[in-house]
Amino acid sequence: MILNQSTYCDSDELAHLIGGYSAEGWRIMDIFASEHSPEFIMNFLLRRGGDILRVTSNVENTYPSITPVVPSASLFERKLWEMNGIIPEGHGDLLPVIYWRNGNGFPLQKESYIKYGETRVPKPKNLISGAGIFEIPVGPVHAGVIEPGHFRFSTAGEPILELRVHLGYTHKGLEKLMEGSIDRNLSHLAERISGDNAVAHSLAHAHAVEGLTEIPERARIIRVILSELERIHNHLEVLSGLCTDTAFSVAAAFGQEAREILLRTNQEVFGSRLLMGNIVPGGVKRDLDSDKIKKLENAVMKASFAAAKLDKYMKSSPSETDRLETTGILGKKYAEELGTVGVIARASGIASDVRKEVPYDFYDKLSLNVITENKGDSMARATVRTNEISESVSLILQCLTKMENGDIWTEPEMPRGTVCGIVESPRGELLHTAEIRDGEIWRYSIRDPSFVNWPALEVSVLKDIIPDFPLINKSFGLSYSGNDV
Amino acid sequence: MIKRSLFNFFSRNKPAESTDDMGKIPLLMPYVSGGCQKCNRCADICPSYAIEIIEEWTIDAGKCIFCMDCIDVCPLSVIEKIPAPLYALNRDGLVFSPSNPPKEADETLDGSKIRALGKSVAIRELDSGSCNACEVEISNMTNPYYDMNRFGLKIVASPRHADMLLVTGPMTRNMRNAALETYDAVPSPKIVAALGSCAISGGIFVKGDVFGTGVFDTMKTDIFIPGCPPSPDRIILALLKAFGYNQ
Repeated sequence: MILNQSTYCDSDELAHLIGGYSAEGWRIMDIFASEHSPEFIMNFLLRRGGDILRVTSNVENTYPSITPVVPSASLFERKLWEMNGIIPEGHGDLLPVIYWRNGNGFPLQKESYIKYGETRVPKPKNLISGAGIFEIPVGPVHAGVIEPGHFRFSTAGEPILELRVHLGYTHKGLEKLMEGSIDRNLSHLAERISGDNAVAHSLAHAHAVEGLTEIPERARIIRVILSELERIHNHLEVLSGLCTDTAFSVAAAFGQEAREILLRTNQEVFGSRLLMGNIVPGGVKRDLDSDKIKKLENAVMKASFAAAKLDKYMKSSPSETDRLETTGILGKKYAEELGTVGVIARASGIASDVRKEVPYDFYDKLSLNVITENKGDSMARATVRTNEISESVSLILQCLTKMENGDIWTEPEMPRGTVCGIVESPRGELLHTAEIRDGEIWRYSIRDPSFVNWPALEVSVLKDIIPDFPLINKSFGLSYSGNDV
Repeated sequence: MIKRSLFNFFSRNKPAESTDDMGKIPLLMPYVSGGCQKCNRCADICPSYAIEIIEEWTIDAGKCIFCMDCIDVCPLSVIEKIPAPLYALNRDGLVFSPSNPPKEADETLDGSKIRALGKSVAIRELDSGSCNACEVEISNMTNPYYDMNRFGLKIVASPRHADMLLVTGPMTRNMRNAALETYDAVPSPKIVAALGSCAISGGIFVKGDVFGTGVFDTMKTDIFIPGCPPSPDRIILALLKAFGYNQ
């Protein structure tokens, strides 16, 4: 999608303008700045339904913060401050997010970036303190097989009064690595932003650098199949993880088994268990034949059956419903205010789905139901996931019937200006934005759905007890690596 | 009827796969046995700088992400796909050239370390900034197909209970201090295994915000397991062979 049209706004008026849009129902998708010395051009990408709006502004070093008016901008402004060196005045909570200012200078400025500096681990402090309040630090190395992140709870007795999430341990400087000439290597790098969402990330990257290139229909259908396969195995992982966390091993083993069958089919059909190396700008790399289609059909039917069975297991077991229901409630008001996306938003009653609102590839020709729940608790998120597996299976079967012979790759034509790729990853709306100058990427912005969903976790655990935190965290199913880029 | 047959499929009541069934799908890596004209196209396109052509064509399986883009660009089509080794006990054991072809890995760890472990290994997984694909495959090692607990391999919750650190990721600068503290918390004799291309060499992230080239710049590493990500059966086989348990 090419976003060369933009609404220009003076930096003093930004809070007023964005606040006005926010009140009208526009949600902030991404905020980033690109350097055009001696100034920065700030980009605000907003979305409401199928409409996408780009607001730009020229900023030298400081501008009045928009966080007091639009709370969902908070993390973006903190990232701007530490990565670009732009100070949002009046933000109120400027803490490092991912880079921790361990070098001299700012990594996303063109000149003054010195990579080798002292690492300064941020000293997190909770706001609530006093007699009888305990502070419990957790991480970055956790008990299970998960990624690193630091959580700090303030508790009085069992209930959690405050949680602050401190991430950045997996920061690898990917936005900087993506700059430069556009070649095939970038899609390998995009796949490894968050390994379990490899298809979604490489697809968003492909959409960004393809611009208006007409992709062959067969390639578009295969892309949809790949995306949905990835959604199924991600959802199955979260569901079986939820069962493991509640010590419900029978259901957990059942989910893991269904997932392993799917991953093995991925290996046979697409050459990689996690579907890596399949999507390239201009199309896809591997074609399907009738034999492979049969294997795929088999595997997704089993996944659909497993999802139905898992749902039955989870809802008929009192030990499971007792743990999941009314645990980690995220109300619709908070979900909207924090700008959450994906499964988490849909479980809180927001019917937002990129596949329906901004259809890409082949989704406009498929019938798709957006699944929502209203309760916003862990059980609602689990239910959305099980229902989405059946929906994905239906989408894959629709795709397989509509497949016709044809090319699977065409030479992509490089766009100019600001382009963005927006896809629905298994975690939610995923955005890659590239600013292309003279055939090279000048600035590349990656917005993983996890980045906007982490603050929602801080809200939803309040009043729950500490032993429920792993469960709530799993039901959110967020990526640390995608957040830290 | 379909429902019944599907149900039968799932409640198959089969035990997990034996080690003989594992590792059937090889991890293929590019290799040139001869005929290279040194045009350098494969080395230029490699995203993780795994191919070097100085005196002869050299591939580093510890850097390779197994994307096979090099095969597409070779004008002479001399690059072939061969199975990559399961593991290596030193970093040089993963670098191959026509004069140094890959062979099946059969070395085992130092005897004193194996004796100290006995027949069970407590593993602490340490993510030093990976993309979470390796974590996905490590958690798959406990699923009903692989069930690694029956081999004596188990994941423990704390480094203080661990015999071995299974490190993934390219060792980001932000994670390094925490990784060092975790390493210190593991009781001696400790074993460190680097899992995946990032952990072995920095992989595709080597030019990013990472410390050195791989985990061994931060801590002494004993086992190198290539793959991006390696599949669960390969990880299990590599560990069992390195410990000498499957003999």
